[in-house]
Amino acid sequence: MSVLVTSLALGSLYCLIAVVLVLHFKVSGFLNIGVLGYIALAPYLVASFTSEHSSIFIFLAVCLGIMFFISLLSFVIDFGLFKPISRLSSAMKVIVSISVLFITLTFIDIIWPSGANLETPVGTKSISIFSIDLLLIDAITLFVAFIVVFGLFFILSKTIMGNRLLAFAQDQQTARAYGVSPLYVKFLISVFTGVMASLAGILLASPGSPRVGVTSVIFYSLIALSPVIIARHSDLLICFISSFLVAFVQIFSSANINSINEGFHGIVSNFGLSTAITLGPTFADRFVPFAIALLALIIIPSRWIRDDANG
Amino acid sequence: METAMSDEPLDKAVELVETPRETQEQERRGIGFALKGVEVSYSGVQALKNISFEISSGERVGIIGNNGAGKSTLCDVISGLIKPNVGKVTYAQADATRKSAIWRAQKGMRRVFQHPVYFEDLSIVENVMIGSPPSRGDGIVSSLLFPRLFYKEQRETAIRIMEYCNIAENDNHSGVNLPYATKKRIELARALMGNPKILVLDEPAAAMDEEERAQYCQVVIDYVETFSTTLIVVEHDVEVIKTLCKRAIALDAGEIIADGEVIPVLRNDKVIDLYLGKRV
Repeated sequence: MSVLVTSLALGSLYCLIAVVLVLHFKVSGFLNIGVLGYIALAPYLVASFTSEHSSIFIFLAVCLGIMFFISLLSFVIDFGLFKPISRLSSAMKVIVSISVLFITLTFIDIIWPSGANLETPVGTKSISIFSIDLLLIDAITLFVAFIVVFGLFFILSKTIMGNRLLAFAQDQQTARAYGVSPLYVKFLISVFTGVMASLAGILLASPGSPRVGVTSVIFYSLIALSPVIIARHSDLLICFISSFLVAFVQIFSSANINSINEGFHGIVSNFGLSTAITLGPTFADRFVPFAIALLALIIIPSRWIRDDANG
Repeated sequence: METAMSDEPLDKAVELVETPRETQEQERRGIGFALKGVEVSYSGVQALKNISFEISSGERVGIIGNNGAGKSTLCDVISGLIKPNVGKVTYAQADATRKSAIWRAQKGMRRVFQHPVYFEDLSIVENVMIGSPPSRGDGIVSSLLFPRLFYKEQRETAIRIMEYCNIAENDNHSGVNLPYATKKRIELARALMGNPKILVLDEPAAAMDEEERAQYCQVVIDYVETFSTTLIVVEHDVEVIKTLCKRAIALDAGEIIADGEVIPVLRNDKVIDLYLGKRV
């Protein structure tokens, strides 16, 4: 049961990150990996303005401020940095966005040379729901991520604003001819990015979870690329489902690493060989998510996934 | 040198004074749209040469010509997707030469593209709703606080327009496998959703059979006659032009070769030689 709950919590975080990347791709036509920099930046900023003695209200106010700041940063970078390179190929834009990511990380290292420990009012508390012991941070993660992701799905599918955004994502020229402004769409994407990336960063780095620490944020953010690959960086629904699938297989293989090792040694010995190699946590964390992504690319037919972005 | 320097601000002043005069005159004469000396060239090829015409409010104008005559470029200039290198565009009593497609859409211009675009993430009714004019329901605050209020209003309007365009039966159908003619009607409904002052149709009859074409034209005629909408049609099919329009402009190699009532233009010797090949 704990594997399932942890998977759901981790999957919902992957979902937040992957949905931001897919939305960015739909509008800009390239994978904006620079977004991962915002995810890393958020917990550092929150850690700088709060301490373990901060009240929950101050903590929430700081989080809201950081979301606003990162939305603004995303908007400025999209307009200031990406506009002059709008005529370059998607590959070049990805390179620029990776540069943005590493410049952000360098700034974080300069400003917080000794690192930062994010303390939240929640701490490392546990709760018990239906006789299941659950980390409070996992329960909050699940609750917040589900509300944000379902809220986003609702906005996109059931509001005029969301419909206009999806129309723009599919065909910018036609959408412009019907009065949908690119400035307005990019502003919306910046707001979604600010909110979702900040939340993902803060929840990933919160103490109490097995992913504790701001340094592990980038590592887990990179794993969120796996559902993006499975969804061919375009289909939001497949992105949503695959986030949970990747998290479940990752947590399940991590929890059963001994059985996987036995199976691995069994297969090797079937070939009359022996090995001293033992699969560790990196197998579950690094190999499994991307193996799933590559397998999905091979076995899922392209026609099942709508690749309608303008890349 | 001194004279040249002193003339420059004078020219600018004359231009500033003349523009409102010209605009006022156009307004008095009921001019809905005007091009004056418009030229467009891409990478050395001149697609449009010195194009000038005025279209009165409520007028129905067809633009005809061979492939490569400049019809689609002219359509792009009219709808603001291409800005002319030289010349002036006037729309909604304003200089629209440098104004974007978005500005024109906000001022009531709607264009129906040659190849219908169906937004696959949206249902048919939502596809039609995209054409609605910018409203209170578009903003972040109203979308979050009253998400269904304005949505419901616009949805009801969209369903009425779909019925008008004979597409009500497909209300919630996913658009992936829709017939081409239905997609064309959806695109028309989307344009009508914006309550257009000027409706620009780019090759509306392409890839439709005779019955579908007749139905489509009937919907367009009913609409533009009811609401006195200005209609600009770019089309190969002369029969469609004869059905929809009262005036025709013939283009060849980026130049206007004839402009006037439809039948005289179609009987014009130059038009017959260069475009029709036989008398209509």
